[in-house]
Amino acid sequence: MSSLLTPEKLVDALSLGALYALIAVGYTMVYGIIRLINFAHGEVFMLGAFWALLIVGMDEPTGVNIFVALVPSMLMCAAVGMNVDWTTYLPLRRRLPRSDALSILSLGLLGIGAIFYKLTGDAAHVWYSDGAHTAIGWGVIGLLPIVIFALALGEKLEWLGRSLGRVASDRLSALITAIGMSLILQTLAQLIWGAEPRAFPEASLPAFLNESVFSIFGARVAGKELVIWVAAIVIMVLLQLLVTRTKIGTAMRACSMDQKTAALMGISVDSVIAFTFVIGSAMAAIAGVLYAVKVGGSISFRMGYYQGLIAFAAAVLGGIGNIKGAMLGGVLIGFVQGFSGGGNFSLPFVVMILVLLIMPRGILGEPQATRA
Amino acid sequence: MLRLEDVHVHYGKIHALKGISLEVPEGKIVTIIGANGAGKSTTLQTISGLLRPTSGTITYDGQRIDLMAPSDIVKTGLCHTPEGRRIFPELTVDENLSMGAYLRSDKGGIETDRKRAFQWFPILEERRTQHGGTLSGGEQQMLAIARSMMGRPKLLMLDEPSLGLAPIIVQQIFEIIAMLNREEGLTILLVEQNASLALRTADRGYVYETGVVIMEDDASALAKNEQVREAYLGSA
Amino acid sequence: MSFLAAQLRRLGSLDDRTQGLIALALAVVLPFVVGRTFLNTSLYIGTYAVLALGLNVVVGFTGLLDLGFVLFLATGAVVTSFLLSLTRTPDGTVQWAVSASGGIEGTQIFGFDGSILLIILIAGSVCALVGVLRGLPTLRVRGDYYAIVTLGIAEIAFETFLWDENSWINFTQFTGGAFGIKLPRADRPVLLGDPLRWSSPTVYFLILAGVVVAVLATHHLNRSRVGRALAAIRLDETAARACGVNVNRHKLIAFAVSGFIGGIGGALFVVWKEGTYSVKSFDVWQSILILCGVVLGGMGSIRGALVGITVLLAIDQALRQNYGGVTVPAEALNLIYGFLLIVVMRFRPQGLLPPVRRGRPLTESEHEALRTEPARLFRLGDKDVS
Repeated sequence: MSSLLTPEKLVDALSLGALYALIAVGYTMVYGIIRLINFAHGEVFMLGAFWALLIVGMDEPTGVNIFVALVPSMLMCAAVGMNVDWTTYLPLRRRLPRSDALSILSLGLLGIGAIFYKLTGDAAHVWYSDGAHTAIGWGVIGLLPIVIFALALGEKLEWLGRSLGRVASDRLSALITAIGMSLILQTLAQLIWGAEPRAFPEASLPAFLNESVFSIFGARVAGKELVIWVAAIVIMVLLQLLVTRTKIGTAMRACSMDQKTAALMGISVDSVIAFTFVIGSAMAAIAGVLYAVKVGGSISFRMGYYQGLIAFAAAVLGGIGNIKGAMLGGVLIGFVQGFSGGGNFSLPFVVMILVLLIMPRGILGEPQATRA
Repeated sequence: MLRLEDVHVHYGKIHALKGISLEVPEGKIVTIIGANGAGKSTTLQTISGLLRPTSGTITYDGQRIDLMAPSDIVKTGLCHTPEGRRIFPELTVDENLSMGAYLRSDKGGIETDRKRAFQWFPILEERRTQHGGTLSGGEQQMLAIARSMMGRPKLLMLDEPSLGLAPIIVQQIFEIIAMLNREEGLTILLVEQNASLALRTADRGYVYETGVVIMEDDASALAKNEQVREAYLGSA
Repeated sequence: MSFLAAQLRRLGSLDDRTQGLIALALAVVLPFVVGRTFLNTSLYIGTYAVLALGLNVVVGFTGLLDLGFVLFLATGAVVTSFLLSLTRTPDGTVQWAVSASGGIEGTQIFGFDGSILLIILIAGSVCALVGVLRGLPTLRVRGDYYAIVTLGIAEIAFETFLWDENSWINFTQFTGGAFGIKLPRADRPVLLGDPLRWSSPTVYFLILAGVVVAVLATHHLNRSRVGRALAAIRLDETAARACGVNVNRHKLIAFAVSGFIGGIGGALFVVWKEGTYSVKSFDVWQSILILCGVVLGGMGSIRGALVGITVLLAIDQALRQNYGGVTVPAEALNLIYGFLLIVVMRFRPQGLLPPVRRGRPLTESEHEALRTEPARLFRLGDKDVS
């Protein structure tokens, strides 16, 4: 084990901290407004890297610059984020026919997307490798219409739920639904793109990313680190402006305080929540791409799980629901990870648990008890 | 202007409104009085779309609104000031007012209305940059009414505006309510525990008991009614 | 069809004891009528049923979402393997070797007939202790924080179990590290003169006994004073505290019981796997798998946990079969679990067999009382209702 404090580690810690902060803010924004953990957020982060990879070329470089690919990746992730809300949280918020329609639509899109990709995409491994797998692949895809059909029958099936009364806590149901969503996204990524970790092709990365730009305390700072720092600062400032200065931002805060009254003001609470998912997901996409730029060969279906979990620990550490807390927690966890060498996934949790022991609601958490 | 016909509402197995029919004519103040749990607030929440009636119809300006989303109902010019004021505690007074004007995009008009609100409630202007949660109960009630008025409603539904306030403040609030009706031509549906005050302010009154209307009459007539006096006005 | 439905309804109206006895009778007869594949599946289901019952104590009875239950499976299994491999060498020292390197010369300390019962008890006790220790830091946190702390602790343990000689403590000497645990044949426990192999009927009945013990224990816990206290905590922790329930003490009891049963599950896991497994498989998805079983069956319901885990693992096994050269890719299973979770939560959040709440319905006047506070029943404004 080399010395604990080296300038190189400081640079690394700052970058990791910035990235974790970007993801953690997504968790915390959603939590702030619907008081539920978005377990699928890590998966959106992972998809961010994958969408960008698809555009810059998974097997053959397409010559597209990674920063160009970032934009469609953000859009795709925003769509997925909205999808997660519609599929997972909206039906639990509202028992209206419309929410069924939306969840059918979004699950259907997910399925159609997978089929479309399989029909047009590269010769991926799992389903097309031999005849048997093809049959099963279609079998699994065939499940989707069944699920959709079941959802369409939703109102008819309600008697099942009604006959015994709802005893499960709605919050718990939502949490478990989100775990289900996370499982689906992760598995789809594995099925479609395989288990092998990948990296962005060299051709897509502008040369300055790996060149030394300047040095602090004798440590060379590569272009990519600088890009991460600048991006994180700019995004955080923009986010702060969005939340405090704009109408939609004020509406977001209003919804996080009192959704019912917000609805009485004519605020469409569902749209505001969907918007929150969109913003958080777009930020996760940026973090996903930048993370994959920083750590080569890290794009895999698992990256969402580990990095997402660590970022979530960061959000909890800072006080979940609090945007500044998430930034602070992200940086803190980044330092823990950076200085410990980065390979250890348990250290962030140790830090998180220690902090929660002293401050049960995190560093900047709300003092009043939120109901369980 | 607003008409409820045979509206039933259930909370799960609980039958909260058992066939309510009532009418609010344009330009009038109509009040609903009744004991705790009689379904007064439920009626308002149903009108503003927060609750769904199990049966019955609600029409406003000749338009069915009982199937519309709350935000669409606000668009039709119907605004609900909820019970307990429900100020956004961590938004400033200014931001609270902006939320009241959420559906509007005419910046000039909003500013005019903001000034108008400050004329009615000068204390709010002093508190502009304070968080809503730091205001006193009376100030919060003023802010709640001002916030509702920012949406330029044609019909305002007020739920228990006197709740928990000192009598002098209640007096002030009700003067404003009467003034809004008189000078701005605002139609008002008022739910109130303080029956005598409500009947003095209103043109017409409905008396609720466990989810049904047991009496409806002109407010002045109700105020004289023996039964009402005994049950709600605390005098025999 | 209607005849079947009527019979099912009759079965459902029987009391718990009769239903339990019928189920037990069926379970006892099962190994004599089904083939080996089904037997192996039933061992799998039995082991996980014990785990699900243990998790149900915390998730179902106490209402805390535990996302790190795999910790008990792992600890119970590792303790069991360790004890089984303890050997007194001819020169008098005590040694152990859990990894594939092969056995050690000497006599096993736990080599006597029936030792597995003692080991199961020890594993359970260790896990009960682990449960209490793990519970202590969580007492201050509530709701979602509990879920994330348990998840975090399981992750920490998962990492720690793989610490090798380069770390402060070399855990791989107990856990086999990345290579996994493989007990030599000689180390296999003996019960009733029968070295335990999965195909031996003794193993089936051992696991069945574990399930029965877990069912009885959780059933009595739920019906006891402690169970009522846990229910109060689940429904409203603040109110329970105000009513004089010692919330911390009862939570710790729940954690201990849950851990104990989880530890038994871990020990049975080793028996079922014949001592060969890897701690690398004890990741978060194991926790989620067990949780899925509990949720599918109905949180807080004992028969629900049994039925839920059975249905889930039966689907799992059915999908893993080879149908004329056609197999489902293992990854696709997770896809199915994901959909299952969403669909169940959407349409039947209370699960297949939710707990039966005994109690009278509200009277008319209580309905009225509820109506005076309609906001409590109002789903939208959840947050601002205090």
